[in-house]
Amino acid sequence: MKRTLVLQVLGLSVVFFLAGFMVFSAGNTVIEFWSWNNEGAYPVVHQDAQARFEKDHPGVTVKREYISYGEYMVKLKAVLSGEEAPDVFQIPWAGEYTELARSGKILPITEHLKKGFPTFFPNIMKAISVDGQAWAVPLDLNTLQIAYNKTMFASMGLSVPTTKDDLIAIATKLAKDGKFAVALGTKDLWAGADVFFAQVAYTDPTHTRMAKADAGEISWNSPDFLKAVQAVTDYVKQGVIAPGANSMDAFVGAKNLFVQQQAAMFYPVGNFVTGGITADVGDSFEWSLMPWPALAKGNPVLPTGGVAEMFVVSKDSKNTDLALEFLRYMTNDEGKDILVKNDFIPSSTYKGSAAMSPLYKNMLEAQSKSQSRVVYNSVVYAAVMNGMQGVYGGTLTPQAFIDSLVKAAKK
Amino acid sequence: MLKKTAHIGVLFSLPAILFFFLFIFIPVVSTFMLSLTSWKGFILSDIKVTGLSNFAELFSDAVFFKALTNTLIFVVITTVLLNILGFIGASLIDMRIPGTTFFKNAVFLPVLLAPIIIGIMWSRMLDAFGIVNQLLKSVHAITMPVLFLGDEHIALYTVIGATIWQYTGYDMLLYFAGLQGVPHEQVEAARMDGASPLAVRLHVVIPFLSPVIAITMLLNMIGGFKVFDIVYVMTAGGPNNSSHVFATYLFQQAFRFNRMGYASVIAIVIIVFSIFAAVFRLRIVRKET
Repeated sequence: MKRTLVLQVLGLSVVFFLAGFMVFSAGNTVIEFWSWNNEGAYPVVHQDAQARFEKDHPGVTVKREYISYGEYMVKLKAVLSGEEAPDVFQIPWAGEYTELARSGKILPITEHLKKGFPTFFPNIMKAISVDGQAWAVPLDLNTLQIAYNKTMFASMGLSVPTTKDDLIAIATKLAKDGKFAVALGTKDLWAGADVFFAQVAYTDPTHTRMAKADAGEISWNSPDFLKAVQAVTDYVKQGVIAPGANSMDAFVGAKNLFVQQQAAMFYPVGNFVTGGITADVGDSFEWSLMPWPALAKGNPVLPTGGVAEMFVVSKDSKNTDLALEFLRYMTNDEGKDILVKNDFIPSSTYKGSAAMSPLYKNMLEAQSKSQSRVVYNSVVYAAVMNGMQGVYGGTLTPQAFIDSLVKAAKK
Repeated sequence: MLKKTAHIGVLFSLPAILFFFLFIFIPVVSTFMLSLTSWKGFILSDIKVTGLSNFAELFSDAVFFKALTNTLIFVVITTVLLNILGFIGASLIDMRIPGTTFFKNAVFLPVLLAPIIIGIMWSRMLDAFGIVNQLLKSVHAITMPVLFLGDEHIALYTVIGATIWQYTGYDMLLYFAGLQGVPHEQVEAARMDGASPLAVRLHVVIPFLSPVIAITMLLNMIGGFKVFDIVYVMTAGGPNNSSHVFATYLFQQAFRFNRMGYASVIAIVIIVFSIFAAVFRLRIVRKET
């Protein structure tokens, strides 16, 4: 009797265990998602898409993982090589993008984009295409502009500069008052390169030469690029850039100079950092955004910009369809609503009614005129970043900077 | 009987042999093979054999030679200063004057912290507008900030300074342990013969410490050759590649530019330097025995 009871209990335990295991395995499809943007409002956007997606797909869970940018590429390359990549992951826009697209580890998505995704802006489609194929789903766009302290400008009788000479004159006035002009942190390299790209937007009237040089169709040893680095050198020599750029992180030391009102301006600022500045500034002063001024009088001012966050699907993913579906949720109308509410610019036409802040309208206006800030060749991109540190440190002449790009392109 | 003992010997050595084979021999051989190829690091079938071209490139790579020079500067300065400061610190503790316990703990504390934390802390303090520059400005020592990490000529030395700050306590502890082994009678005898405190240190204590000095210097040299984290956090090899050391340059080539073949060549250079250090160590150990 006792033995029968024990057997019955054991039998029931096995049945419950197996049933539980079956239920668990059947209802626990996990979509792994990697991003490095765990600051600002991006996690809010990701979380919103996840909630909507999981609600409509019972039994499917999105597991979000945020890895700091410093470690992101190392970890990503390791899991890609080990065929254990997450189903959906964020991908960098510059140097590494082309190589990752050609790595054979990413799902080509030109055909998938035709099914259920919004129609992305043509220039954005161009930016995400490599070898005639689209590889990434662009979530949003950014513009890079200079943040300026409106209150300080007003109190000192300064107007928004429209030319290089205007900006130099403002820097001179600010210096007399013990203030710095543009706070810039280039220790983490990329921000310094963007100052160069901002000048190329003016020195290359065709707006095509940087892409051509990047593709190896023309040399970097061109007057357009030389004039651009010469402009940066002038800005450094004339005290437009606050000292110590090479020793400050873009969003720590340099941002603090602006927030603490030691510098009247701060670059680079896009929607990826506006939330942080607003939170830090509080009610201390009013601020807004402006592009780098034109190099000559009469020329229109042009900001730079491009794709902000973009995501790809791993070719090794066992849930390709679900991964693509999740990306549809991120980029559909509801996804765009949450983007706009958080001051992000969707990568396709927005027809919703979310309220837009004045800062957002500024960025939207800038986006319509923005010029490229992307060099896909990772060795050349590194040469631009390192070379600009040399320019800020006063150890590299404009011609030596150009020569370093030519040398890098040959590699 | 002998055969049985030999079998047991092999059995006991097996874990160490396996460990060496899996974690040292295979990676070293793979690195050497990779150095003869071009590979982005994604798909194994994409590996292309390029012969000695990566080695040829090394000789014309100015940044590599900068990294080599920086590594040597780093090794020499940190080794010399850590040993001098470590010895002085240990001697102070050995005097057992009041306050030495606090001094010992205070100097040793940074050793317990991760180099990344040390790097971040010093980066913030030495920022162009960090606390150090603010202090210098407040005492009117400077008008413009000193660019500790932003000046190509001093960034490396700033990192060296932070490293010395962190590891002085480590060397100090080794020397302190060594000082406990110095025969008290000989020191007393020298004093009674009229030797000054400095002469006692130079002619009695230091000769007795020579094995400790050799080992401590060797540990510092090995640590210097493989330094990565504190340099990466404080300067990432910049500005304009001016503070790269072997490991940061290897990291850049492998994980930023996806040049696994070329990065492997740099790894081989590090291996060669490590072998020299190991031979040096063996010689010291043999000399001692």
